[in-house]
Parts: sequence; C-alpha cells; structure tokens
Amino acid sequence: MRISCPWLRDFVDIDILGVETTEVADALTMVGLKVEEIQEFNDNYIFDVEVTTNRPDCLNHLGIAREIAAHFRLRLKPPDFSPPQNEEHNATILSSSVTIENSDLCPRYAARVITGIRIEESPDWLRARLEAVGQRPINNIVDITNYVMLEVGHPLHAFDYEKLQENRIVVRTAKRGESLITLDGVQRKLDSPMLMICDAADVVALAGIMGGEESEVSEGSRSILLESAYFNPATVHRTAKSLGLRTEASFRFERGADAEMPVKALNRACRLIQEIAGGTFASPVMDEYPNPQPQRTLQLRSERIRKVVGVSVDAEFVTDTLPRLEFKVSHAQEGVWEVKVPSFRVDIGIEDDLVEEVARHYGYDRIQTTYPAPSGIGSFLSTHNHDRILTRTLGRFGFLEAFNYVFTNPSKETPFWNHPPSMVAISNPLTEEDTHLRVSLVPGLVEALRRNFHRGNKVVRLFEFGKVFIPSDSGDAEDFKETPRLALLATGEFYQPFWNTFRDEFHFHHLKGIVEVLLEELGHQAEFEARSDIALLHPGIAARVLVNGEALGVLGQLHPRLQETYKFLQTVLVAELSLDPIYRDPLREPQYESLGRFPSIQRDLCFVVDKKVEYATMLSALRELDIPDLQDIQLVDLYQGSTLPWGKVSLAIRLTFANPKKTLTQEEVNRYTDEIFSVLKSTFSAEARS
Amino acid sequence: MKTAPDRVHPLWDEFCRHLNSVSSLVELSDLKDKYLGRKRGLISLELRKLGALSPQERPAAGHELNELKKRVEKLLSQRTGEFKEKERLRKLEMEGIDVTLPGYAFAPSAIHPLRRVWKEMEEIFVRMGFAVVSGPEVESDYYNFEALNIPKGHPARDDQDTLYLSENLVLRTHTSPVQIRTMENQKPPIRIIVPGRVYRRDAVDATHTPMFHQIEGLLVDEGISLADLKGTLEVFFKVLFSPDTRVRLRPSYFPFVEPGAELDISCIFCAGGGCRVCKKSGWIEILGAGMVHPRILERVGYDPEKYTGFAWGMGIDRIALLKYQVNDLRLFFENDVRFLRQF
Repeated sequence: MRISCPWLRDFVDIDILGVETTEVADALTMVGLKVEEIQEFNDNYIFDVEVTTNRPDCLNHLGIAREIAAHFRLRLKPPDFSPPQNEEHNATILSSSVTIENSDLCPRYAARVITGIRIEESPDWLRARLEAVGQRPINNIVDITNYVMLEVGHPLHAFDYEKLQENRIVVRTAKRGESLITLDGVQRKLDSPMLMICDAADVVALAGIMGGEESEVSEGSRSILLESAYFNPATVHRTAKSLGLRTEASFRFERGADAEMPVKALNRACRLIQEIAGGTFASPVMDEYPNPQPQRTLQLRSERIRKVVGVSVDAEFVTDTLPRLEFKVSHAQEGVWEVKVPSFRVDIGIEDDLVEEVARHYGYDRIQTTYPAPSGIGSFLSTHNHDRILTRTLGRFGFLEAFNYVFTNPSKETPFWNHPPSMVAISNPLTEEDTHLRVSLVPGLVEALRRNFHRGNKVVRLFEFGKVFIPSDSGDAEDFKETPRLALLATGEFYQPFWNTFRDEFHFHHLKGIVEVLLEELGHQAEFEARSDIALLHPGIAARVLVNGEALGVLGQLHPRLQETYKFLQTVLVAELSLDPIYRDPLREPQYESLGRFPSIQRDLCFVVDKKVEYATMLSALRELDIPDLQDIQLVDLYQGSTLPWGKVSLAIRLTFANPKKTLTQEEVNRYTDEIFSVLKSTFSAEARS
Repeated sequence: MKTAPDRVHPLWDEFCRHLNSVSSLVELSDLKDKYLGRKRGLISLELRKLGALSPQERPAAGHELNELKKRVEKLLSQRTGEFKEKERLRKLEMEGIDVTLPGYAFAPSAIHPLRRVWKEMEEIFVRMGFAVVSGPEVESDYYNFEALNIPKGHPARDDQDTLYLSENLVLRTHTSPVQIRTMENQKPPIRIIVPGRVYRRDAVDATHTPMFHQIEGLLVDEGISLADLKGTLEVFFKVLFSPDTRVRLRPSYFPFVEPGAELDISCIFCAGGGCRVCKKSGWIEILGAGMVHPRILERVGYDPEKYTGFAWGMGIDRIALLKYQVNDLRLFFENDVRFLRQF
C-alpha cells in the first residue's frame, strides 16, 4: 500500500514532531505496519507499507495516520464526514430506490443521486495525489470515488443514473445464464451464488468488485447514482476468486470493510463532488441497513497483558493508548477494563487481540527478554542416528548429498518404468512439468546427472534422502503411502585423478560394496539377488537388496535404453533403498567378540569353473558343509581371459581356519581344504588350477 | 700386582697409518682381518708368541699386547660406526622424494548446504531442550489450515498459494500442522521443533522455489510470554550467527498466533550499519512468530488461562542463503557437484 506523506499531514501534524521522515517510517514499522521502502515522488515521500491481511483499516491514509497519531501521542484530525452544506433539494428531485434481497450478503447499501454534474478532468491537486500513490486519474467523478477509498478506505462506485432501468438499485444474487461486460471490457459469465448490483432488469455491477461498462460514468453523463455499500467479505472473496478478478475494491471488501462507514464515505464524496464537479443533490441519502451490526465489547485484564506479554504495563498507558485507536475504554473493576471495539477493527475478536494492541504501541522492542524455565531434555528424531551414520558413511566414499524437487510428470517417468507409472497427481499444478509426486528418487538423480554432464562434470556421486509417494492399488486418490528412501547414483572414474594409481570405472561391485558397508554400519547383513525384471536397470547387471529376507531396494546399472534416452556416454550405477525397514530397528551397541588366542591358518584354493555358476551359490554350498573351524572365505582373484576355455572363469579363494580352543594342525586344515575342494569339484565341476 | 709402564707397541703406529687410509666398510673389514684375524692377524700372531717368553717377561708383554688389542678394537668399532652413519645418510638422501607432488585427492564428500544448516539449527535447539519431531508432507486441509484458524475464504490462504492433491489433501504449506498434531497427543509442557519440507504454488526464480524447508518451534507451558519468545530466539541467533547478533521483535500477523510478531536480526553483513542485503535498514527479516492463539489451545484441549505458549516458523533455505552467501535459491536444487562440494 502506497501512502503519501503530504496526504497523511491532512490528518496528523507530523511536522510538529520535528523528526525525520525515516523516523515516522520506523515508528510505523514498529507498530506492525512495515514500511518496506521510502520513495521520493515529486519532492514528496511515499511510504510503501506492508499491510497484513488482518488490518484492512490501514489500507488508507486515515488508518495509517491514526496509528502514527497514537504512537506519537498526536491529535488525529479525520476528514469532515458530515452531510454537505447547502443541500437544499432542487425542485426536480429524481426518483430512486434501493432494495436489498440478500441482506446477509449485503448488510448495508447507501446511495445518493446527484444531477447536473460536469464530467471533466480532475483538478491538479487531486490528480497529483492519485498519481503519487500509483492511481491513474480518469475523470473527476471516478477520481473522487478512488480518492475517498484511498483516504478513508471505503470503496465507492458511481453509476450513470440515466442508464439504470427504472433508475433504481436491486441487490441480489445472479441468475443462471446472466452475464455482464465489466469496466475492463471483459464479458463475465455469472452464476447463482454471486452477489450483483442490478437495476430493475439487469446486472449493472459485480457487488464490491467492479462496475459494468454499460452503466459506466462517461463524458456524456449528467446524473450519477453514487453507491457506498458494505458487502460480506466471504461473498466478495468467493466471487472475485471464481471470476479471477481482483480489484482495489474487492481487496478491501474481502478483508473486511467498515459497516459504519458507508454514509460517512458517501458524505465525504458528495462534498468533494459538490466542490469539484458541481451538481445538485437530487435525492436524500438512501441508507438500507436492515440489521445494524452491534458494537463488540471485550474485557481486558491487566493481568492478562502481564501474562501474555511478560511485562507489566501501566494502567495509564492502556487507558491512554486504546482511546487513541478509537477503542472506548471504561473501568469495570480493579485491573479489568471494558473495551468497546470500533467498527473498522474487524481483526479484534478476543481479549488477546487487545493485549496485542497495547503491546504494539508499548513497543515490542521495549519488552525485556526472559528465558523459559527448563522443561526436560532435548532430543533428536529416532531416525537421527541412522541418517547420521548413513550420511557419514556415504561421505567416506565421496558421495555428495542432492536435494531434488518431489515433482515429476508421466512423460518424464515413462522411460524409467516402460509404461506410465501410477502416481499421485496434483490437482492444481503450476506448470505442466510438475503435475505428479515422485514414486522413486532415481529419476531425479538421473536428471541431476544430465545437468552435471552438460556442465562438464564427468565424475559424479550423488545421494539423496527423500520421501516418495506410492499410490495404493485401490485407485483412491487419497490412498497412498508417503515413505522415506535413500538413493545413490555414481558414474565416472572410481579413483580420483592421481599420478600414481590405477584407473578404474565405477562399476556394479563398487556400489554393491558401498551398499554392504552402509547396511553393515547399521548392524545389518545385506543379501543380493540377481534380478532381470527391474525396468530401470540393465537386466544382466541388477540385483535386489535384502536384509533378513525382506526386500529393501534395488541396485544395478542404469538400463542401456535410459542411457540412450539421456545420451549418456558413461555407464551409470544406481541404488535405491527403503528406509522404513532400516529405521524400524533401533541401533545396537557393538558387542565384543573374543579375538581367539590361537593363530589362524590360511589356505588359497585356485580353480576354474563355468562362468554361469554364481559365486553366492558356491559360497552357500561351502557354508552348508558346516565346518566350525572355517572362519572366513574371501575371493582374492578372478580371471577370465584368453588363456581359459571360453565360458570359464578362474577363481582364487582364501580360506581362513581357526579354533578358539587350540592351534589347528596342518593335517586338520588339509582335510578341511580337501573336503571343500571336493564339494566344488562334485557340485560345480570345478577344476584345480595352480 | 705391579704392571710394567705403558709402552706403545710398534704395531700401533702401523695400524694407525693403515686406518687413516681406509675409505670404506669393506677396507675396514680387511684391516680388521689383517690385525685381529684369528689365524693370521698380526696381533693374534704376536699373542701366540707370548708362550715363548719367560715367565718374567710374559706379564708385561701380555699386558702390552692386550692394551694394543683393546685400542685397535675400539678404534675399529668407532670407525665402523662412522662409516655406517655415512652410508645411512647417503641412503636417506637417495630415498628422498618430491614432497611437493600432489597428495592423493581423496574424493570429497559433503552434505547438502540446506541439510548442513538444518542440522546445525537442530543441534542448537536440542541443546536448548527442544525435542525434534516430524510430520507428514501431505497434510489434510484441516491440519494445514482449519485447525490453525485459517478457514476457507481466509485471505491467508491466498498468501500461501497451495498445491492440492484433492479437496481434502494438500502438500503442507508450512510445518505448523505438526504443532496441532503434537498438542493433540501430548500434555504441556511442550517444547518441540519441527524441521521439514514445505510446498507452495510458486514459480521458480532466484528467490522462490515451490519446495523449501522450515523449522517450526513450539513451547507451551505455564507462564510463557512474548518476552520468553524474544529471549529464546535471541539466544538461538547468537549461537547460529555470532554473539554480537541482536534481535528485534515487530508486531505482525499470522492467524494462529496472537499477539503476532516478526523477528528481525541485525544484519550479519554490515552489523546493522546498512548495506544492500538489509536494504540499508540494518535489519534482516528472518521469521514469523507469536503467542499461540488461545482458540488453538482450546481446540487441542488446553486451558488458555493456565497455559500460554509461543511458536515460530523460519525458513531454512533463507538462512542458508545468508549463512553461505548464496545469491540464488535455484542453486540448492540443481545439484551441480561443483556447488555441492563446497559444503
């Protein structure tokens, strides 16, 4: 809201203070009307005031002046709201009437007819004031209605009296099929709950929002009907929203205008019209106000002020401040006041609202800080340590944490799933890109990778913690699961560029090792199961991750199809894990296991086996032998190359034997080793290799 | 027994001459053999001759030879040490490397800047006795609006343009719903913070993103006042930014608090002197807060005459912008590794 300093001076003598304009602005800011900016306009200062939605009474100069006057303890000089002087009615009184059909939507409607006016350009002073606050001058009548709105906050509307059928006003809801061309030249289709201003036959204005083009005051107008009404905030809000039309008038009415202002504002406008546009009053003030709104009365206890604000405010301060804001204060009993709320303060409904009034003008900055007494020990979320361990572990491997939007759309997702996935839809998306909620973190990371490749970043390791939104099979839009996941993506050189090391591309088993460590850090042993049916992964380089037989997620190389879609030249590894099963288990303290006093003995076994034999199968066959002294089996070499028959692979495993009670003999170890090899030989056709 | 007066054996001079010309450990070893060699060593030979002497001559000659042997041995071992030391030094010199070659560049790791500031803030509040709680990102209209005094048609709904999933479900526009959820399930005292993700129907630009992060705070107990709100947040910002940070409370409006306030901190860039970031005001607007609205306390079954409380909501993203001097919110969601690596 733009507020002009010279205009404020009409109502409050700020010059008497002898302070800088900035000080006035600071004072406003500190009573809750933040001055965002002070602009200079034609040698005058304009305040850009941020008026919170609860204070429609401050969407005008008088309201702002009232706050300044109260703060600096100055006298507020409101404009003259009394009926215009010399209003002897002409012989030619024009007939008119006002009928309100929906008094709940339009509690009050005041109007007056003025005839013999000259429609012309407004005088310079008026034009200058409007322009200073960003209002474009139109003609004297329209400018006066705008002026009064900016001055005292009440929106007015002038109709061309002669364009109104039967010269009368009916306030009613629209009938189905009715329409109106508004002042902005747009044809508006109307619907039944919308409140309309009509003449005897047709709609002439959208109540509280905008007038119609047909009845607009124009150069040829000689008589006008000036409307000053009070409309129900909700109805104006609904209609403005459904028509997508927001105006200065609707903005004020939907926040709450002053039900006691219509006649005062009408008088004020009539005075200005008389002064500027001439004319004679051709009707009395018609004021339809069937159910006058009762004045609200609240109790205010000084003890409540102390309790809520935390300071004891002098009784004199309260009884001096509130009347300056036009509250009527009377002493009810010791420490209790009865406070009558002015009609323009639509925001005041309970005692604590009055507490705020006192506190605002007392000054929040004068409140001495205190500290609440301790009430227990602080604590993190139960998942805090899980997340911390996962993050720290990923950090060890050079992963960077990514944050992606949760939004996606079917065409972006389709390549990942071979078909459009079932997703939760946003019913009012802002863009065509962001229409649904993600069902996986992987597409977002792949998109982030694409951006990185574009910018020349070839070595990329990202992880993301985030929620996904999985619809249930029921098809019910409100039936879905919001569940946390962790996803990993890695591509490029495994080792950092260095002058003294190997080169290796980040591949499946690197990521697998990382997933194993991640789960191990949380006390879980990961298992992996080859899968060829995961749409986004290479069918031959993909696995499901399990813990205690429960599927946790997937791991693998991005499917070549996606690789092509995204024009990636490097292989990309991804993993995605559900976190709920991980969070479910509390973290366990490590439990010490005896190191064993007797030395362990190692034996290496080298053998050639068919490539199709899964390592894990061999491993579990060996474990089934149930040799208690066999402590560990480690794969130390894998070779497949031209010196081997096609389809064969050479493996070297290192067996570690130990017994907690004795030193094993060579004979025992040899026997174990032979037993192990014979199983490899008989079950997997392994051939020894030296 | 009296010993004969010391007399330098003629072999001594000869040995000393030889020793001076020795230039390596190998030559030294040869020299040792020449004098002390068990079979043909010159001193050994002399010692062997002692048997031929008369018992009167023998002690003096024996003493003389043993003295000679000791001195020779001592000199030899001394010289051996010298040669070994020289050798070691030469070896060390040869082993030297260029320490200015780059060290192995271990892959950098980083947590996201938003997470970093989020965790930092969490830790400060936990130290101040707050419990961290969380809530769903998809909320019912009731918890996101109705229960917070924002009925349908309330202008505050326009301020927070909302992404709806259905008539009843929204992507939460603030973390405040968790206030209600917590109070519904707990009795005072309540002292919680709620960090989390929130959504608004905003187009992406340098200062807006449709998804961002907040930390909500709520403290309800007997005798809690606006002065406590000010004190609590003052301590928080002094820890988060610097002990010089000052806070300023200003009246403002949020439907779920009364009185309502906004909190400014003294500009962390100009210390209040006035700069571009604070628009020359010396203050940076940082959060919205206030005393929990009595109607909300009633709604969750608390007696507003007995209990009062304060609440606040602050943007994590905004604080990250300030703290790390990032000038564009979009950078937080692009996930460019060159950006992420910096945190």
